Amino acid sequence: MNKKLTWRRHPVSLLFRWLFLGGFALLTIFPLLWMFATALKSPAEVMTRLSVNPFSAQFWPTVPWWPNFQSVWFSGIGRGLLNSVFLSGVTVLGLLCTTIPAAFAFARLEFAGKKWVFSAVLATLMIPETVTFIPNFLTVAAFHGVDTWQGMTVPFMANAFYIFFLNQYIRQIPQELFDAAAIDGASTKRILLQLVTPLLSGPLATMVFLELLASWNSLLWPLLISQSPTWRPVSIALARFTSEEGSQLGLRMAASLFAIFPILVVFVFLQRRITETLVRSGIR
Amino acid sequence: MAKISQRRQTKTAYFLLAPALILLAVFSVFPLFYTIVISLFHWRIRSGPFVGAEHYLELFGSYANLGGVVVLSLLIGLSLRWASSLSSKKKFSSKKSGFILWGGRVVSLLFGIGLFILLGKVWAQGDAHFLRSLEITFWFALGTVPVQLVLGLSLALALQAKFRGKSSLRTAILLPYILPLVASAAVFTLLFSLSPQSPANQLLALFHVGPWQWLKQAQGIFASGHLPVYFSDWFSSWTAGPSLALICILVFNTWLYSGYYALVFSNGLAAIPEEVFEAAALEGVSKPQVLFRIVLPLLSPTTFFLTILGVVGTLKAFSSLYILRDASTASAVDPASVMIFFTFFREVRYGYAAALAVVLFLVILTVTNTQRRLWEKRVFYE
Repeated sequence: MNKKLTWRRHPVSLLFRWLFLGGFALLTIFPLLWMFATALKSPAEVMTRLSVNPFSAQFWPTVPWWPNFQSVWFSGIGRGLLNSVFLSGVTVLGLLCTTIPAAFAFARLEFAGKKWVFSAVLATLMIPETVTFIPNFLTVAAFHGVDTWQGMTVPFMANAFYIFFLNQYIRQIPQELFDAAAIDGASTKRILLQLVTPLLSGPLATMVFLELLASWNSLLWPLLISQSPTWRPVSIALARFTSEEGSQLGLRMAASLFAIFPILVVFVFLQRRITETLVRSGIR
Repeated sequence: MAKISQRRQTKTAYFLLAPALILLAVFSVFPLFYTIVISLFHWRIRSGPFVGAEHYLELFGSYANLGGVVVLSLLIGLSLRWASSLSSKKKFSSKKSGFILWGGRVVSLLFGIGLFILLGKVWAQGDAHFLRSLEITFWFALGTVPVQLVLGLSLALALQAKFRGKSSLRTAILLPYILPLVASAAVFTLLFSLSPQSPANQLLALFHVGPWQWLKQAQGIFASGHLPVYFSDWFSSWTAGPSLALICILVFNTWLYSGYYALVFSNGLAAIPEEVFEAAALEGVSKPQVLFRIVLPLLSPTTFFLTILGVVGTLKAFSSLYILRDASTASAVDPASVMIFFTFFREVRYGYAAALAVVLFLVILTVTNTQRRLWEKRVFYE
């Protein structure tokens, strides 16, 4: 690592490097700092303490104003948050149940029609949600799935991308381990649960996080399916909150902070495994 | 495992694959074909009478336009394809084959100009809203993908050394990609709000400018309204350029994905063998030359991957736009995905929305295919 970069290790170049990265990092965290500061400001302070310099005292509230969080929680965000936790959790569980066996079958079993089925599965990656949402809405409506949690989650419980992603990692597991398991007479179920799953903790953590995030961010499908507030996720609650002209800035930012918090907690827990895997594969 | 017979493996495999395959078939493959069927019917909530190509006619204005667009798109693809297959024949010298390749690009560019002029007719006779949404998508891709590529690569290069605070800087740069974008989009609606107290306007006030309308400014930044009469609305909508509202959305998108691009470029850089740099150092190659003659060509597969991802991502983006858009700026910021959603959701025109979705799908296929052809000879695989 060091050797190959001898041509740019001059102290001056290091300083420029640091300034460039530091400046950019400041730009990336500025919106988050501003959100945090605004969420803690009282309605009066939002209009008076206007500095855009995070290093100035005028950027921050004089004393943290907590009522923002209380009123936001009880105006739909709280319910949306709990709904989102449940819905994204169920989606991720379902996704794991379909993806691990499928990826294992493609990576480790020889079967008739394998090549054909695999390319068909990969081809589904080309089909965007914009093309599928109309028929899918009709399908779910035909099964009385509108306004139910099943209708919100089941369509997302299979994804060709993750099958492809896990398949690559299962291929890297040494064949000897599978041979040993076969000699011990382990069933396919045991091989999946006690051999494959523990060995793939990094990729699985990444997959869980990416799908939680995707599910948390989804808006198009929830807008169609959750027509009553019963199963409305936090993304919709937030979008409604933002589009209401009257609502105060402090409240809106408190709502955004609520929406960010659970994902941030999950990320902190899984951070090491995720960055390791992310750094080694290209995913968006 | 090896002892299990082929037949039993086949049975086990399909048993394991069944849940994923059934779900993919029901929610991904079947809808693709069903969308085409729906697009041929008059369909509002319930299925109505079969109307054939009527929705496509409404979209393109006339059969002549429809046919012309299809033929010209095919010709663009075919001329690129012919040129590349002709140039790879062995009987041509490398100079000659390069010439043929460029000839193919020029011919396809001419067809492209023809397509652009024809779309002007579609704009006048057919659905101008849909064309406008595609135009917005184009500005979107043009305004984000190159910026993200340059920023991402610079960040990745800057991260290529050991220094204090590197890992926390990297986490900070990746943060926008990791946090839920619905929430960060909500923050940006306030950062770029029209109120004089918004941070964007406060920043302008430091230079005694503004306040500006930001996300509510729907007028194109070059709009002057003085174009000669013989230019159609189609041309003037292009010369007006993207609106300030759209530019705010581009800024958001760049903020969101630059760190991710840096991450992927870092992987690409790590994959370049050390010997390459050692040899360059021994030969006394200058730094800019190392960058432009060695690093960039070796990174071309990564760049290609990120370009396709960026352009397709632009065509599919929905959530962030839904939050950042405003009903008053719809005609200035709504890309095709949002426009199709509202045709379905607000106007309840299922059949027409399905027809738009089919056309968008074909556009995505054409764009990715053309990109692949254009890059083909330049992507350097090891």
